[in-house]
Amino acid sequence: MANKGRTSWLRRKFGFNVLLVMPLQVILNFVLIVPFALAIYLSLTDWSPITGPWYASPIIGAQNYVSILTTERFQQAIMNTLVIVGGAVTLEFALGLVLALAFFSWDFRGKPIFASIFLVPMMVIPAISGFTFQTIFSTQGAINDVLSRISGTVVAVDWLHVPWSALSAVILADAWQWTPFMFLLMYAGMTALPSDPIRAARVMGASERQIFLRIMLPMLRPIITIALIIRSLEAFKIFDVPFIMTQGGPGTTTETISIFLYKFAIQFARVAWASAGAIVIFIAIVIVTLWASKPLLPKAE
Amino acid sequence: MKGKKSIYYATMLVAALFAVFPLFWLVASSFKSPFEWFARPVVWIPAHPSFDSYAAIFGLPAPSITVVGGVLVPSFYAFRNSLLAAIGTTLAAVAIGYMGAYSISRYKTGGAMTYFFVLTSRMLPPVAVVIPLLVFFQTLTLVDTVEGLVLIYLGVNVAFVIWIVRGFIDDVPKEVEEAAALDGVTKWSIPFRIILPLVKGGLAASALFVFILSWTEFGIALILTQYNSTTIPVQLFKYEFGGGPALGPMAALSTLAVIPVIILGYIIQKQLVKGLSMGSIRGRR
Repeated sequence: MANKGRTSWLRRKFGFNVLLVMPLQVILNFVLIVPFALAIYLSLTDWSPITGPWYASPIIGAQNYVSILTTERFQQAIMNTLVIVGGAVTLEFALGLVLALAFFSWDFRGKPIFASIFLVPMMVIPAISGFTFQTIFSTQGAINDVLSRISGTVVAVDWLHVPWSALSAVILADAWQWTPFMFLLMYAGMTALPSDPIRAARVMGASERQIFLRIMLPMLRPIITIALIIRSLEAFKIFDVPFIMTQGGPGTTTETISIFLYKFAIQFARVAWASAGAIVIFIAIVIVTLWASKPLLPKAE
Repeated sequence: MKGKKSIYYATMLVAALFAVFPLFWLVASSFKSPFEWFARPVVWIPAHPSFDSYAAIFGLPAPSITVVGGVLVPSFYAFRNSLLAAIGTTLAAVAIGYMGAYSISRYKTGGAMTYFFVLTSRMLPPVAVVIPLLVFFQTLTLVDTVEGLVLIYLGVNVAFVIWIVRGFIDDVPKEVEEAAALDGVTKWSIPFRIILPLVKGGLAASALFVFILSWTEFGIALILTQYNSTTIPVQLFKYEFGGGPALGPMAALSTLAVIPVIILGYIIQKQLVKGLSMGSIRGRR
């Protein structure tokens, strides 16, 4: 009851809160919203930097959309991206969860030191991890050397020029970099769990496996969902690592959506056409994210 | 019991080995001399470490590395540009993001969708905004400038500050502000003089996160900064050696770019861990 006066004290601040978000709004408008609106406009024209100023370009309607959706290379870029996202995020999640569970339930010394070491890959510049993995998988790289030493013969496979291994290498590089992120979130989630249900189950004779599957996993569900959404969103835009390791090759077998859009918008100057592709992708991402985060939103508070 | 313990340590050591191996490979490469770069069998640890790669990237005499056609430009500028871009973005993003996060946390500004809206900024494929931005930037003469880079990085990374800091502000009891208000602290001073010191940890974590993201960004910089404002990741691929990639100098520049971030990350690891987990455990409200 005594709070009543104070609540209205907060209420009178209306206006102040809007002022506080103003800079954020301005930046987002300038850098994201207005350019995005312009991208929508451009996608309806057939503008290219070589055809003159953008506002002089005639509107041609939805032609770009029809054309890009029926382009096989675009469809393949989507497939490649889905394979990379699926492979990398699954691998990161599985490894991160297992490692976090080991960290949580095993009793051993030096945990802070191990944690610091595990977090290192996250700090490495993606472009640089792409470059490093490129040299590791190259003909003269570490993988071939280890295989040669084990087998006793000279192994000289050009891993990044074979479709399946190039794709796997890209997935591996991304998984190396982001498993720590999953580990971190899963471990934080586990330590934040209430200990009573786990202890009670243990007293009642539940096995460790049952405790994990029946009690911990369901309670971890929100954070697992968040972690998967965040990683999938970021992985969906993957550019640096495959661009540096393979430039999308061999052929177009590792060409992700971002690489495809970069090549067509910048290198081939087909801006309007590529913009249509970017907008299609953006809409798809928003829809999927809204759908995926649905179980999280209403449960708020 | 003893056997169990050794399995624990063995598992952790294997995981740790995987985590650091690429980094070891990178650092080892930076100390190799040119004839060891692509040698078979692989030279894992150069017997006579060569510092020529480091000398070469800073334009110092490097006897074993013959620069072909002067492609190997000194990297001082790349370091300066990356540093300016990363620091500029970090300061601005933390300031703007903190004010936004405070407003969203305390006043629920914009309602339930604000949060999702801010996160949408992470869903846009960068190419979708960079091309139209090129059009603007040409009129504003911001193409190939560090300022232009800072503006874009600010837009795409500020969401992380909101995401992390908001959880920390949510955790500060309302009573703190009410008491301050009764003591005569004005509404303008409350977020800056009362709340700010209480969420320092979250600000540090989000600052480091934004710093890393801007320090490491490649795709946007590749499009916007070809000549005057080249950043480290873009500079990396300008090194050539006799037509092929100059492995040693690339590895040397990479090492120099990565080590400070790892040290920085180690120093504020606690806040970083707390910040990231806070963002995901509590930040979804």
